[in-house]
Amino acid sequence: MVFSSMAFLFAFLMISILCYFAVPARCRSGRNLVLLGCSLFFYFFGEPLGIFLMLASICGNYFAARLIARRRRRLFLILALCFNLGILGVFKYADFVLENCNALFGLSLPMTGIVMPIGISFFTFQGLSYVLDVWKGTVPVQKNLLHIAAYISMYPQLVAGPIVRYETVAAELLDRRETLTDAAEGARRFLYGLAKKMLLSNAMGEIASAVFAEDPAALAAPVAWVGALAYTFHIFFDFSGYSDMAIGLGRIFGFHFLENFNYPYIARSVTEFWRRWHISLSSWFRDYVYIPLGGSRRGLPRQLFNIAVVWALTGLWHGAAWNFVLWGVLFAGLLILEKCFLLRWLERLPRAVGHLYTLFFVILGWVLFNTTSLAHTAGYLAALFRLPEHSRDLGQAVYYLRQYLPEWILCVLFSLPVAPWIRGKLSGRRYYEPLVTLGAAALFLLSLLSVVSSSFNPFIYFRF
Amino acid sequence: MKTLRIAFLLFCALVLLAVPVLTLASATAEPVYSLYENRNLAGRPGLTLSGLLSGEYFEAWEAYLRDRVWQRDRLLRADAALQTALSRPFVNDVLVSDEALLPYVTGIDPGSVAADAARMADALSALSEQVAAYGGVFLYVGVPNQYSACRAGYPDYMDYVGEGLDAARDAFFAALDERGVAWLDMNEVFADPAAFYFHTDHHMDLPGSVETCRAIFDALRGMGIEIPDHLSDVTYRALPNPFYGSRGRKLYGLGGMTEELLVYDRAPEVAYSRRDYDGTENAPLIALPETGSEPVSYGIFTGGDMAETVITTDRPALSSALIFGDSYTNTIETAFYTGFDETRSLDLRYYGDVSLSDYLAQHRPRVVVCVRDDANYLNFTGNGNLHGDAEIR
Repeated sequence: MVFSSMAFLFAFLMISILCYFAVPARCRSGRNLVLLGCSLFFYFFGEPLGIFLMLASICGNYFAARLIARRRRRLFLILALCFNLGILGVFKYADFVLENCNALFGLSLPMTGIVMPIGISFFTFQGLSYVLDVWKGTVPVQKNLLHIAAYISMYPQLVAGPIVRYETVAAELLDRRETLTDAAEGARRFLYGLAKKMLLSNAMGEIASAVFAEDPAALAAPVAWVGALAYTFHIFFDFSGYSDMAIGLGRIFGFHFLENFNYPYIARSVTEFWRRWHISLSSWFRDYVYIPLGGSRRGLPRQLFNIAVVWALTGLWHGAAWNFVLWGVLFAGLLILEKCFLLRWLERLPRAVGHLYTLFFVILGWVLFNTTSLAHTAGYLAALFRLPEHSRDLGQAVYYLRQYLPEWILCVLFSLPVAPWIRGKLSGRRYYEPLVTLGAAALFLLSLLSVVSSSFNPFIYFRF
Repeated sequence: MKTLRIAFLLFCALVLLAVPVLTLASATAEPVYSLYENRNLAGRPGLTLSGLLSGEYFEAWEAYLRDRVWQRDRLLRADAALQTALSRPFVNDVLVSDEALLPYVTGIDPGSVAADAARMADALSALSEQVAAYGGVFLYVGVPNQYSACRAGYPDYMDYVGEGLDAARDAFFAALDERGVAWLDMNEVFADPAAFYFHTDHHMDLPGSVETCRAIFDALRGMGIEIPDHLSDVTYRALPNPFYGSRGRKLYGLGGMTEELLVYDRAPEVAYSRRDYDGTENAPLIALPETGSEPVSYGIFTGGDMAETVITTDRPALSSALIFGDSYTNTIETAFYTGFDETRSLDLRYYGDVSLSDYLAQHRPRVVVCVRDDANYLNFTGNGNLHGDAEIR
């Protein structure tokens, strides 16, 4: 179930909220139980059979953490890691490995045909973070299975993040206050996220889908760049919109998740970009892979190696395909170059150079991300630099720009920190809160219109 | 501030509760046909274990809720009004899909035109030779596609659509000339093609089709075929019924649009008997609605796309004919049969009993006419699959 679906908005959401608040606030376990029940149904709705895997993940991590806390033996940590990575390996990477073994060694091993359960990468990483935090001693072990189950399966962030660490919500799982302010601001945040998704992301997605579906050999630079730019906005508003919805829903239930995006497209370097994009994932890899590998403490060569490892894994986390690995390698290379010298150079150059450099490579990265095979990637990259030969080459590009002009303008505008700027200017005024609330209500109605009338409603991060 | 927050939350809750309650109260469980969208809306899903475990059951609920949401038509009209207000370019005052007002047209790849034109001309040349071998004549008739007819309405940056069509047409007819295949281009006959096209439908209207038929008959007479004239005094009248066109996709924003469907007022006076592929006998060539209020579509002409139709007029002195092509032939057939003793009509998208070549060998029609629109001259599928076997549909 996606947040922008009819079933979620007009059935599940209100039922889950009503059931949740029907339980008295003092009965925290009762509310967590309702949240768990709703979350399991939410997952069952989209992935009926995958629910057994998630339940196994919950139980496995719960018992692993209990064992680790009691015995403090590395063996249990290794077993827990094998359990979680094994789940990912089998359900996400098995066919990729088999396919490559067949290609590399001339074998003909049969494919497993396993369909990857929705959100597996997110709930596995949440389970892992819990076990690792217990091992490190940063959080106490949770003896109540219900609370761990509620944490791992919590539907607001279950299938598309942000990756909420146990330490972020450990206290709130046991003791939180659902307030009117949180509910109103959470609802507002949810509606702004819904509008990002329905009004901006989907429009850009239509362009990107159409352009990327064309034979790249027949594409010329203007259309190819329009397609790449459209995907750049599509993925940002899709994912950040979904994160807004998750954070907003969390607040309604009294949870305060960390921010996942901070205007990434205004970054002046790739290093800065990754501090602003999918913050929960990059900080997860920083804390659970990069720092344990030694981080920057063991000299530059080791640090560069660590960066390469982290980014190869980040690429693979996004999908079992070589173009995702390439995408990771591209950013690893850029981050290494920035670490060595590029960042210092960029700081001396005019700010615009840093912005252009970052955007250029980010857009190239999204091309790697959105192409379906290495041949498609190579073809599309070539198209980005192919001069137009026919009037069609330019006409198609103008068509996409003109037809979706309102969305293009809004996408550019809301990729910039316009909202914080407005907030800074107006937040003290009496009319600010009514204005923002009214805006959310208006966007809600517009989004509903779009939910009803449009059949194009994909969600990118579902496949991770 | 507290009041504002409470009011806001109540507003959200009201919308989220009222819509599903009103939807379930107003929607029937059975699928229904939506005139506004020109399609069937989903019915309430039935629960099965396999559907539940595969996720199809929940997907079906999503489709049901989306299709049957309370006041859906009004919401779609509101969305159409909003999209129009955003000053998006569109052609013909029609919003033809839910994603865009002006439909995106890929256009013809100029790089492949020459080779494709030669290949298609070779196929048609072989067909023409087969017909000539038993003493018949073959005529290829090109009609403008709606994109082509309405090209003046497209914005400048979509000139590539017309340029691609022109390039394909020039290369294609030159290739037919080289091979001695007779052709007729209605683009050259129509002074104003757009005048003969629907707004809500991509086909020619009946007067346009009769004009086409007259031009075909003139061309055939020039090739030595004797054809009587029954088309000089036909007249037309507009049906009072609402006409929603034949597109199988959403036609948002048509609520305020009135387009008339013209039918014969004085039809060609030639008695005929008719047999369709499905065994139906003597169906009318234009199935007029029973009342003046029910909506009609392009499908009233010859019953829509038929795999095969045979029309006989019991005039053995005249020739026999075969006309094949896409749905453009449906309206043409209502006049075309008047020129022949027996008229066979095929739509190779649906007919697959025998190959076209075998069909010709079996029936040996004196006149063979292929009708295609100019966006499909170089399309090798459907009615462009001239040498396909019986399996191809």
